[in-house]
Amino acid sequence: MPQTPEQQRMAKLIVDVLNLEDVAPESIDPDAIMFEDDGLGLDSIDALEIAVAIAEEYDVHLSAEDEGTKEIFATLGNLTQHVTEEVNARA
Amino acid sequence: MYALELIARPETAMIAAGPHGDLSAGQLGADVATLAEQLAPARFLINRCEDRYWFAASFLAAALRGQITLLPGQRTDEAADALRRDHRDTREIADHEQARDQHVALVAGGNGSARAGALASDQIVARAFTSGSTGAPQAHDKPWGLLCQGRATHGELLALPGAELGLVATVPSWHMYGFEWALLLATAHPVTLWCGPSFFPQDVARATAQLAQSTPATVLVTTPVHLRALLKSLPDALPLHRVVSATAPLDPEQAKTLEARHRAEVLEIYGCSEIGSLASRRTASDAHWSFFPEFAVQREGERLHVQASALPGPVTLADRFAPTPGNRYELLGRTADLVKIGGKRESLSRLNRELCALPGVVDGVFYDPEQLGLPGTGRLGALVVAPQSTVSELKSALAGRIDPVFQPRPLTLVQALPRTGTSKLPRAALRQAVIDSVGGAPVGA
Repeated sequence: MPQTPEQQRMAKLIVDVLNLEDVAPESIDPDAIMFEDDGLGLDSIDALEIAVAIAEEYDVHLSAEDEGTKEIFATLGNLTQHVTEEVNARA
Repeated sequence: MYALELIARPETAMIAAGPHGDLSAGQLGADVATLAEQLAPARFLINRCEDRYWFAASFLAAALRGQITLLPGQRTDEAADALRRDHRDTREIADHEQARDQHVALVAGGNGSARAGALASDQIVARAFTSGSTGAPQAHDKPWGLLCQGRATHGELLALPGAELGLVATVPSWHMYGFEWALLLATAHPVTLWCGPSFFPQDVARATAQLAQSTPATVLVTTPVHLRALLKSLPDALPLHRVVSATAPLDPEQAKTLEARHRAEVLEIYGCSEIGSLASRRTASDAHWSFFPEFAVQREGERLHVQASALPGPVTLADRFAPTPGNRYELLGRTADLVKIGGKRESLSRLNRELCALPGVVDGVFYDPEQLGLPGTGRLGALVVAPQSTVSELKSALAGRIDPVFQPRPLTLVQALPRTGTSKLPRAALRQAVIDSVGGAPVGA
């Protein structure tokens, strides 16, 4: 699945904030699990870094209290959808 | 040997707040009694409860049944499986859908109030494991009396006279630090434990705001990694009375910023896996450590031997210290971190501090290839996370701060260091990172 423009922006944020120099943002599959070793192999501290970056970039504050945090962080597609919905809900 | 209460709080006292509402010490006592009856027989219990209340109930129930709780230090199935391979007669308990063995909600819950009973001070109630910074994992048994001495002094360190405290921890209960500084404190002091989500900065903000409604002051028990995230994403002051930090060195400048922003004292805890928390300092204003009163400290050169009545024998600390006035100690560095280059001695910890303090450096570590079992040329190397910097910029910045013999050869830029969830850098992971980024060839050629 090709990335949507929103997913492209989120992919760039993730690659930038985690310094994944060897990962091209456009190569991240929107449906692949990011936190598994065969995905990007991210861990909980990466999730913390991503949450901080999303707060700075989108003014959206992620919380473990959000319905299904694990699913939100699971894939680029889910994360982008959640953040976009939060931004739209505010507008 | 003497008996010590499991929950030394009045039955009506509030002990937990969170998604399940406020819960009293008596309710916890009743849940502990129910759980203790229903736990499957076993010698060891791996406690994988995410909710701090259920973790506490399961741990106390296991102790009442004479079962030793294993603290895996990590959340994963793999960590639990590794423990089960080394410990026969082990069961698990969890409070979430992925529970593989006993599920806490199926065996406990409901309304009640009871005292939980007492345990002998020499009963082993928990077993923790070293994180592996200095080698292979090692088991460390925790007698109930030792944990109770700790909960007494840690509580005194935090308490406002006569005041109720809320407590938010970002570290899990199955890590020794979270176990001591969240769960155990609530069993003996006027502390209400936040049991809801607390991992992300927004969760911490929500938790402290909610606790502030019922308690006059709140303590945050956390790590330097979480504090960095908090500073970045929460510009406003949180209603905090104290911040407790452990697991990795806290930058004094960061401590000062935190104190100014939240008007809260920032306490840093020094500990070792064999015993647990040993000493504290107020990092923003004090470079020296004060050991907790239950420990008798004997000095032999730069080594310290620590003894306590609840310990079977003295424990020699792996780190080196120098005595300072007022019965306090300056941490010189880890003994394993001591390096000698060109006849000069230096501590890797100090070098790491200098490296991490450079502008643009996000994270960094010096290593001695020979200590990692790699070919060496008598020089140190460094892995550095500094996205905006070049190797030559970093080297010239370092030149003013460290003796030139300790200049890393090579200094290698990397994307990240393989730190664990508690900021530690296990030796094996560091070794692999060096091999991956520098190569197996002699370093420093």
